[in-house]
Amino acid sequence: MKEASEITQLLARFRLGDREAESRLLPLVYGELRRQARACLARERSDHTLSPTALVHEAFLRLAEGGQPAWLDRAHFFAVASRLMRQILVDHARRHHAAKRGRSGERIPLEEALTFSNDKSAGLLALDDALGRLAQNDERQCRIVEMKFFAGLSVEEIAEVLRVSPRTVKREWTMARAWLHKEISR
Amino acid sequence: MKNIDRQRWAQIKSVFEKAQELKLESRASFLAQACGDDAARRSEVEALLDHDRRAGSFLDGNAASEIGVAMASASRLAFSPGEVLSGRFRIVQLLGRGGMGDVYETKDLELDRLVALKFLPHDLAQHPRALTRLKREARAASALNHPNICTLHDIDVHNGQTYLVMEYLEGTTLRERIGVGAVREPPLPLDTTLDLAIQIADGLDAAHSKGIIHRDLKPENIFATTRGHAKILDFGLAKLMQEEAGSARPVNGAERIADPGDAPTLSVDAARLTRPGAIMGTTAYMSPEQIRGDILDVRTDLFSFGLVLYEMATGRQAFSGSTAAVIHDAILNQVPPSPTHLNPQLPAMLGEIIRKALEKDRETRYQHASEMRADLVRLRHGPNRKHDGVLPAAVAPEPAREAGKAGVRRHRKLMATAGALLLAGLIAGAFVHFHHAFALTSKDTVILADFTNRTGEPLFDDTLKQGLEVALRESPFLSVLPDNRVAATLKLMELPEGTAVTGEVAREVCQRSGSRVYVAGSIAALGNRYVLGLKALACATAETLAEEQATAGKDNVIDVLGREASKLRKDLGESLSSVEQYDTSLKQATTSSLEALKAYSVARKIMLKRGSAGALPYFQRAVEIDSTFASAYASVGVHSVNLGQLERAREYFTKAYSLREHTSEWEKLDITALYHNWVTGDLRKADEIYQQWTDIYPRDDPPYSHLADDRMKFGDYAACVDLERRGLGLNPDSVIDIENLGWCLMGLGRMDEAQHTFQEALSRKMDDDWLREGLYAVAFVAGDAKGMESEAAWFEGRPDFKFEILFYQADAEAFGGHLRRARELTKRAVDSAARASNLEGAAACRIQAARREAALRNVAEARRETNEALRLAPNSPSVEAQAALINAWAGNEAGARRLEAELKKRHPQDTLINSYWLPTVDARLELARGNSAGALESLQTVSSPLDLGSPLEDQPNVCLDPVYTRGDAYLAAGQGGPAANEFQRILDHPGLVLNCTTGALAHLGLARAYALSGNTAKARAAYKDFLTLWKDADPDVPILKQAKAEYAKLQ
Repeated sequence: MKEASEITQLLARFRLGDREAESRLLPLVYGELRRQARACLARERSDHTLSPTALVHEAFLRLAEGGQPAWLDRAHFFAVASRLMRQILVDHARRHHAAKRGRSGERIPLEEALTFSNDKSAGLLALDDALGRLAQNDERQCRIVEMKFFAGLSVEEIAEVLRVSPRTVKREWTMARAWLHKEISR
Repeated sequence: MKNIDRQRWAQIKSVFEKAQELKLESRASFLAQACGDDAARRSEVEALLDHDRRAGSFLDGNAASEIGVAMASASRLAFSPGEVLSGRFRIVQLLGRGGMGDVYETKDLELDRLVALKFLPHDLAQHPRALTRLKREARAASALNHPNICTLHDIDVHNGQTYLVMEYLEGTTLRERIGVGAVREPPLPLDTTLDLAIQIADGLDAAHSKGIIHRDLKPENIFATTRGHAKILDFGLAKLMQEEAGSARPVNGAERIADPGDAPTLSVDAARLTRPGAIMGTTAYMSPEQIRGDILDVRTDLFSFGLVLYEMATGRQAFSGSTAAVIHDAILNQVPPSPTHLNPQLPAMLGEIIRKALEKDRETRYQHASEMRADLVRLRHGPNRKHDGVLPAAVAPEPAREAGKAGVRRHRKLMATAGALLLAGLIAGAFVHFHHAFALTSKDTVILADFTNRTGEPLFDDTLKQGLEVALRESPFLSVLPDNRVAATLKLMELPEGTAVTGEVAREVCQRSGSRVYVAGSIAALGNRYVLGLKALACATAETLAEEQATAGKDNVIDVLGREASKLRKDLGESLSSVEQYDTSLKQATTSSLEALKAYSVARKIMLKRGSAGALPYFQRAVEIDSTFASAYASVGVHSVNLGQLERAREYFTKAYSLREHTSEWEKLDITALYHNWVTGDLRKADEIYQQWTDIYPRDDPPYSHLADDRMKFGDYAACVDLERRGLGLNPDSVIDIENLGWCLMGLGRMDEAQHTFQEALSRKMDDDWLREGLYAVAFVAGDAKGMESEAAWFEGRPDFKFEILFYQADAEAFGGHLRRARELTKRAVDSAARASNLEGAAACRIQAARREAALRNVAEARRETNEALRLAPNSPSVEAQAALINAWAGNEAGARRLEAELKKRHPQDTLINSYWLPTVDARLELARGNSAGALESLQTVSSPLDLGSPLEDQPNVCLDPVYTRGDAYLAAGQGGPAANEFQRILDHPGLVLNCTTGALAHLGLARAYALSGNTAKARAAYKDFLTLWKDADPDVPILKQAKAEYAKLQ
């Protein structure tokens, strides 16, 4: 694992909108997530289900471990985490989709062969597209969808991050969901 | 709508949010007012509101969980050599990665052989039902045990990963032999192609003849072993995977005809169908009918096989393209290049075979794999293997055939025509079905699916379904499939009890149980309100027949549900007048308390799993929460009866009866009848109610069951059999009815049929104490000591029921004159019942023992046991009635009179007390006074067949007290002939009397009667019968000594 300070720095730069930081962060976070998943399974071989939210949280905490990320309060953490989750997933879906389509005999490396079905990938890509358009209309609604859908945060947690009431989050979510549904069903 | 300006977005948002908080019905006027003449804004908001409603579970999950699961399974997939799975399979090496999952070469340590482990995508493990189906289908194919079908040894789950344990094969798949895409191997040698093709056809033929269709035949699924054998892989997987991926279309019953070994196909929920980019099987090898989503039969495999053959022969895919749409279009509309054109080396006949297999219309295609095989064999072994060859037989034009083969041909043609006719019939059926209004008939039943509860509030789980059931059951038009039949169907589907009956499962239950429609409900939160939805779907097509939706507050959810149910009834075709006549408001019919309804529905669920004892506390909880919940009171009563706690039952039935106006129509009938049956004992009134019930709800089985029960009490066993059969016709899985049918048959002396009935129940995995006692009784009558023993053994470790068998065994001992052992067993029975806190059970043991002692003329013992019984159950009319009889018999006239007076006062309308017990008691009292004429007069009211009736619910053997008493009275009157008749009647009903002491003593009574009428020979024979029966009886029983003395005098 990279030095914590490097990751902390990357996270800080990412937060400031540094695209390059983002591209360097992704493999780190992704790798960490995978490592976590495997460690988790090695610990408990029983037939259990991973709690994905716990997994993501743990991965981020580990990444930030050691350093003193003063900026990393709860709200920032969630904001960054959900944005990263969206990127990881969409990125994955895109590659998966591409691999499926271009596939003729060549094999996807084992590590990448996550069992995303085609429809999931396609659905995720469509959602990502629509989310991009939603952000142009309503940045906050986009954030809420990211946090709720991509990082699995509860309405209450989102309310805390955004410093608004849970009722507002719910209202925004309802509209965002309806809008996205409309966009995707076109 | 992209990138609209901010101000406009804010306007839309504001209107949307306000409209969204309003009730559905007030939205339109609000929108009109809020948007004014801005039609675009209005339509945008309307679209959003519409999508909000339709969004269903859209984005409900979270993507993080997707990646979590995906990563977990990616990690799980990586097994290293040496790793041992399930303590049995040691991984040797990864063989390959299929589209379906990884395949490992594995050592089965238990059987010391190599096997292949094939892992399926993780999704499957989360669908136990799918897994079960997979097992069934795959096993069916594997059970063919055919050399050209890969054997499947087992299916198991490891860390949530489903894997197949398959025959280990050395070699390669056809895909590897042929090559992929641009990387093509040279075409296979012709002989190899033909050898493999013949074997594939052979394997297909074997599977098809059992009705198993592969559905996904392709080079990846065909293995060519190093020894040159072809093996078809993955039978049964394709269909399942398609369903999992959500691409399966609803299929109606027709496929089941083509595919008898198959379960009905699942429906796919709408969300999955509408999800973008749903995948569609293995595109390039699908048949045209598969692409169209038609009903499939075996001929789909022949088309796919044709494509495989094409590829083997030419090294090229017949249909290819960059997208599924292009390939689909080609399969549907284009003719591929002729194989002989691509590979001039090929014999013309092979080209013809392929062409015939690839006929787009399956009617003109090969009809059977065997036909194709025959042509391939002819080609392989015939002289004309070059391009100038003769046309293959099955593809040859008619005139070319030899006359001698015409018979076979005709036969085939007949078959094909029959198939075509059948299909035409189905198509016509489907046409009628889709083009005429869907009409339910009086034979159609309806299934209730479990509600989809999206509120996150567990209070709604089960509760709403329960409410809906009450509401729909009020309809004489609809017949809701009873719980126990749903449970039985789930069992057949190899699903655990308590499996959620959701859309797909409901549909399969619906189809399997022969129902027409299933009703699915849903509830979701909408702000602080709830949206309640009801939907009726056709089982065969999953087509929506009717839909209702409404919003409700928490306090009126039940009310709204009731109203929606009424509307749904109308939607489904019930007449308005019927809906209006039978339309108790649901809140009134059940309870206005969601919590109480919840307890009630939980009780009903537990009832199916753990019986009355488990359910009772929940029903009690329901009445604690809502003290006006009539049906819950009635349920406490019913389950108390089942547990032998009649006193509590009477208390609750009375309460339910007093609240009966607060119930739906059928519940009112139920409660009123229960009240008369158990509280007033007025069976004639109860019967009237049941009759009324069957008039209004002719498809409800409970009234038949009750009517049958009452016929048994009145001694009309033939009518009982008839009624039980009618009840079972409506609800074949009712264990109580099956048991009662068995007992009624015993009443008619049809012991073999009774045994068969009980056994059948057992074979259907129904089991309980009453059934076991029935089998014990059958064994007793047959003199089968071993059978008795094995049935008695069932009661070991069942403390609640143990006393029943002990007390029954006590009777059996007394029947053989082993009084000491009988007393001992009685004591154990009483103790056992007391330990199970069943005082009424203990009382039943004691009073039966008292009757035994009275019959054997052990007067003091009889009175003692009677007093004990009365002490244990001071308010039980049946114990009191028997106690009166025994007191009269044992010379305690005062005691008998006191009890009689009590019974008359407290149970003036009780049919059995007044027309069965009291006359018999009176007769005994008259006899005690030496007034035999008075006794006989008294017994005149207990005429046949009532005197053969089974008045006691809790006692399997029927002592026939009126008959026995009448026999005694005739003896006392010195009328040997009539006395003999009476005792003979007892002996003629061994299936009724079973091991009751009067059954043994009837021999003695008969002997005395014959002796009295001077028929010494017959008397001697009867004495002998008795003494034989009692040959190893306790020697000191007074009645035995008496009998011996009488017999000796007769010599």
